[in-house]
Amino acid sequence: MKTVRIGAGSGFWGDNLDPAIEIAKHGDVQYLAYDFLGEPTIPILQKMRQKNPDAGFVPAIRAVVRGVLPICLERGIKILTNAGAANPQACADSIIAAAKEIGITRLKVGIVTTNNIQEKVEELLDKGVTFANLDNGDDDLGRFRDRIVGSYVYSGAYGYVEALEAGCDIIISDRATDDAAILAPLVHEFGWKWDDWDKLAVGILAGHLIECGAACSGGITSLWKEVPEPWNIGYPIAEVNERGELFITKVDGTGGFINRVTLTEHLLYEVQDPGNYLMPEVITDFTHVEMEEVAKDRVKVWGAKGKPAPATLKAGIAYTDGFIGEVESSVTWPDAVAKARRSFDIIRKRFEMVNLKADEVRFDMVGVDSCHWSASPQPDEDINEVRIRVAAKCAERSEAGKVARECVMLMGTGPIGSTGQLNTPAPREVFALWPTLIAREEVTQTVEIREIGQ
Amino acid sequence: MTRIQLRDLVYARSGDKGDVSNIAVIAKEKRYYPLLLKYLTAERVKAFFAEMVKGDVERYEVHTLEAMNFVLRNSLGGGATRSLRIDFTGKTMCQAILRIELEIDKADLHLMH
Repeated sequence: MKTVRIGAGSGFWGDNLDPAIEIAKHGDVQYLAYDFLGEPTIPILQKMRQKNPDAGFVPAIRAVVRGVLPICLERGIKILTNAGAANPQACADSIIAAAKEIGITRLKVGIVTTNNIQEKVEELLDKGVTFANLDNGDDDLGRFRDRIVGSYVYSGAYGYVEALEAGCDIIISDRATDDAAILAPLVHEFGWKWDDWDKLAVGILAGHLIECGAACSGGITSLWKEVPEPWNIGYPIAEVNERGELFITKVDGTGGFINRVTLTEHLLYEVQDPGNYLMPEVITDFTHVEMEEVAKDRVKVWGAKGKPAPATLKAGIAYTDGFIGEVESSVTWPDAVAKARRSFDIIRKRFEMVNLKADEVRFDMVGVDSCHWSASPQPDEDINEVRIRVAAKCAERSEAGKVARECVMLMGTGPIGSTGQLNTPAPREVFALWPTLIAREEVTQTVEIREIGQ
Repeated sequence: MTRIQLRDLVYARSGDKGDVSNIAVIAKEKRYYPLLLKYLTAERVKAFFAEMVKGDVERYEVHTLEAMNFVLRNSLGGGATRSLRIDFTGKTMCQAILRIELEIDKADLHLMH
């Protein structure tokens, strides 16, 4: 029976790239899928491209070319990735240059690019499309229009499949979804049709479970105390057979584990309504999913149901949104909590005196309530130390700059036992993301192929 | 009335999309799930997080895995890129929720058996 195995190479930009080498060597896979992009990544890369036309993609792809591509070419393993981000052409240039440097003489690179979504958003705004904000229903994007820095859309597996059918060895996209890099090989291998909703749902289930790398195989799990060798976690592999059965597993001898808990944690990870998990290719219902641990680190997963693809795709519009000024320092026992509160009183007064214009100000006691706010228990007043953190969001850079300036003074004016502030940190510029929907007919993908050795 | 802390009943994991935090809650044992369905309501979760969650809380269920998913709207200070929260992606929301203490009627304890 035909079986396809796809390994997860990366879950985010900055992830460990070594587990993919293990998978390529010992995972018996035909595909490796690398996800590098989180929600804020594309706007950051768009900004980099504005400064340097050769930038704007994920440079980690060069490490993939050097460390993994030679093994993949030898074994016929194909690589799919969204490393192209805000500049897929430059990404392809970089792949080809890096491949030549290490002596690769034959390579077929597929480049999947969506149409210019920023231009499309401008055009549709002019026509009166409102682009309601998915988070809060706000439909007045227009007031930020002159502050928009870039827009992107989460596109589907279609271009990846076309490039696989053209025989590409490595395929990069700008912003195909994380799941698309896992769904595409399955569509390609099994000849699934784009309206085989239940089959596509299996591919989305597989994609969703493994696309975040270690997060389903022993990373960030409630079972953290029991994870074997967490310094050497094996990244997950999705195995699908021609009957559409899905197994999640990993390379024997690596750290981490895969079981019903780690997979259930991940099934619902960053999901809203599990009955309607929206992807460009299919809407998937996870509410009848079942799992069985059939062997060590090998779990059978079934029960996903597919519904017709949505009429809209998710888009993100990034705009500049002021500046954040932020600073920290420490106070110690005795009376650390009381000293922290006294410090906050001083700073509040100083902010009044310098007329700080801020949209929002936060005072946190790290070690007491900085992560959980009012959901934190009452502090232990005898605690040995507290790190105080003050942050403010301001429309103007000069206002945000006041935060650190006023707080630095605590080193001289605060309670005894104030310490641990090295410098006056500069404010950082803020991007806001406006999540919205765009009609799918406004989005097109094109596939281009570039080769070494032709 | 018996008080049971959620920590003893569930595993939990949280993540973010924009200004929405979601917390998956998974019964450690099948027999705990009916108690969760009855007592761990969206209202309970919303009240627990209080000022942290400015929007609605919705609860979705996956009965086959004894799991539920809480969706907390307007709960991350505007989303990761613009949030003033140290935990700007809400990764620790799943740890905070474990402090919830359910006050269980004696008559309902049989649900666990």
